[in-house]
Amino acid sequence: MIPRYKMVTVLVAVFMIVGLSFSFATDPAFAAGKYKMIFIVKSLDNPFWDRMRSGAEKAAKDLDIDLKTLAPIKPYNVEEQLRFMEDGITQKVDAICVVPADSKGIVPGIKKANKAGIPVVTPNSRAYGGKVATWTGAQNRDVGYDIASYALKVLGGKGNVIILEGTPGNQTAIDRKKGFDDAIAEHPGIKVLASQTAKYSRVEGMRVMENLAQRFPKIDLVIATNDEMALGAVEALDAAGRLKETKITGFDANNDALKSISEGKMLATGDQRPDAQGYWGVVAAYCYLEGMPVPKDLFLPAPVIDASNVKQHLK
Amino acid sequence: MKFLIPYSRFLILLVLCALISFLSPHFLQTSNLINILRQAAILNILGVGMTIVIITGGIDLSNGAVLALSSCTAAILLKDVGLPMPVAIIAALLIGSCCGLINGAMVSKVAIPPFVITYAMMFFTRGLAFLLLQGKIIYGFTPEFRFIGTGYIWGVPMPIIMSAVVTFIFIFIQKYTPFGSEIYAVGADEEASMLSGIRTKSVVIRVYILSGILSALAGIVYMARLNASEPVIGEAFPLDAIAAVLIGGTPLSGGEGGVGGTVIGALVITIIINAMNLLGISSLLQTFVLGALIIIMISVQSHSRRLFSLPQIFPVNRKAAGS
Repeated sequence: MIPRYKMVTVLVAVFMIVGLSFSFATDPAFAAGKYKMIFIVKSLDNPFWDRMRSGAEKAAKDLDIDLKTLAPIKPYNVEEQLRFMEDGITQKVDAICVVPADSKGIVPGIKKANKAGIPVVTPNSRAYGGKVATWTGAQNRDVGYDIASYALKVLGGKGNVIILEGTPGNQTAIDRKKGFDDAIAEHPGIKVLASQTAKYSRVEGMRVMENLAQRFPKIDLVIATNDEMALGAVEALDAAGRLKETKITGFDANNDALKSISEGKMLATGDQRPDAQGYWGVVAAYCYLEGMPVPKDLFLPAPVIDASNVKQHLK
Repeated sequence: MKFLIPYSRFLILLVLCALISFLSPHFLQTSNLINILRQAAILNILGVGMTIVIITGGIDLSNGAVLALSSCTAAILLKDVGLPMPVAIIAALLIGSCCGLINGAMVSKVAIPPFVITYAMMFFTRGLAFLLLQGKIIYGFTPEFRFIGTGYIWGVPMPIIMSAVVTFIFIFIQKYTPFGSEIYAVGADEEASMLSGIRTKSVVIRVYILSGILSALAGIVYMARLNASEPVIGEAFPLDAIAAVLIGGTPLSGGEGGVGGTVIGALVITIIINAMNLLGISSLLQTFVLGALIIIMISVQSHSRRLFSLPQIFPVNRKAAGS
């Protein structure tokens, strides 16, 4: 008879091997195509990045490019992104698209790519250094301003507002909040009750909202810097039976948020069209490789989505 | 004075509550107290599992990832496959216990340090959760399922009931069953317990399995409450749970402490976060304040133990001291 501890070891080994082969199966190597590119997103914890990936992959298919999309295991980890870039340089890819998780931290990777003569495109988020061929994306501040202005208009220019901030120190979080603040400054009748971080996460959004609801008996509007936190706030206020009296806006136009808007649980969100950002990012890299001039900044408009136009976005 | 030690953590809790209620009039409202208990429930369930693991001298860093994997599996079975609720829940609990079994077997039979294997298990299970969901979030469960997270029985929210039931079961196990005393014996001196006829390896394996099952249970409550399941949930949970255990007075050296203290630890952490929201402390300061307060709490625990020459919370000089 096989000793028991050996059985356990064998079982564990089988379990691990099955898991590993599963992971290889979903990680295809480069196939033959005109250009080889890698596309690095910030994380996989938010459907936003999945949409961007699908846009990038569509562009790659349309243009006959071998595209490999990569995401750090630890969300928003710039170290891993740098490693992906280094691997790409070693594999001599033709272009690198990277959404910097940290605008400063990514610079060494971009400089290395510059040195190797590999063009770099940064969709969505900017890099503060190195030579970047093109940046494609929406102005977070402007979209934030549009969403907040829309919501404040719905309130009639007066009421009590809570802001749910993103992860402290995160550039998009700062830009979006700046947009909110600018819009609120134009409405003297608006009172900001609290502005607290929920770290871009749904569960934190729920927790922070539960706590704030204890302190403030009357909340007219919650503006969140992303949909995840907004959806957490929806759950918190729904459980407290206060969803009807409070309007909630998000940012990013995730599927769940669109569904909430169509059900009347959320007021609005802003759609940055991450799929378009991904698509245009790959196109820009392609044009650059073909020797065509490309714009330094490629601004993509980002519409505010509410109940009136949510149907056409809902998938 | 020595008899006061078990109450020192209770004292910390009372002082904290008194201080905060003085600063914010909203803190002691019934609705806020229920709110705190509900928020502490998940951390408490995880903390109970962590406590028994730590009493045996181990540690379980994989509980947050096991929570994510089991809740993602349950979500897929519920929403994509369309299995009935009890089946999905049992499947999630089975996954939790399998992860625990591997942890326990690796620790006891292959003699890998608990820190190493549970750390690796954290990546393994989290990675599987990512593969399963491919970056998606599963959202919107049936009202029957959501009852586990948002329902009430006799006016008491379900998460509080679940966490209370778990706590009482484990306090009972800890105090009145042979398994309970074996956990302490193994933690205090594994060799001696083996010589006295305790099947120490089996005890260790069972402890990790229980921790895995509790992680899965917490995952079910978590997704029912949040109405969503995603692979990244619970990244900070292992450390939160360890903090709750330490504040609760269970030393990392094992062989001592108990589930009761961990309840207080979980409450303390939740109350601090609740108070920071109520007081409107700036976003940039919150993580810092939480960290500082946890350090203070654990220092107080540690110091009062040293004062009465009890085993230390951190067993750094255990060998040097010749014990």
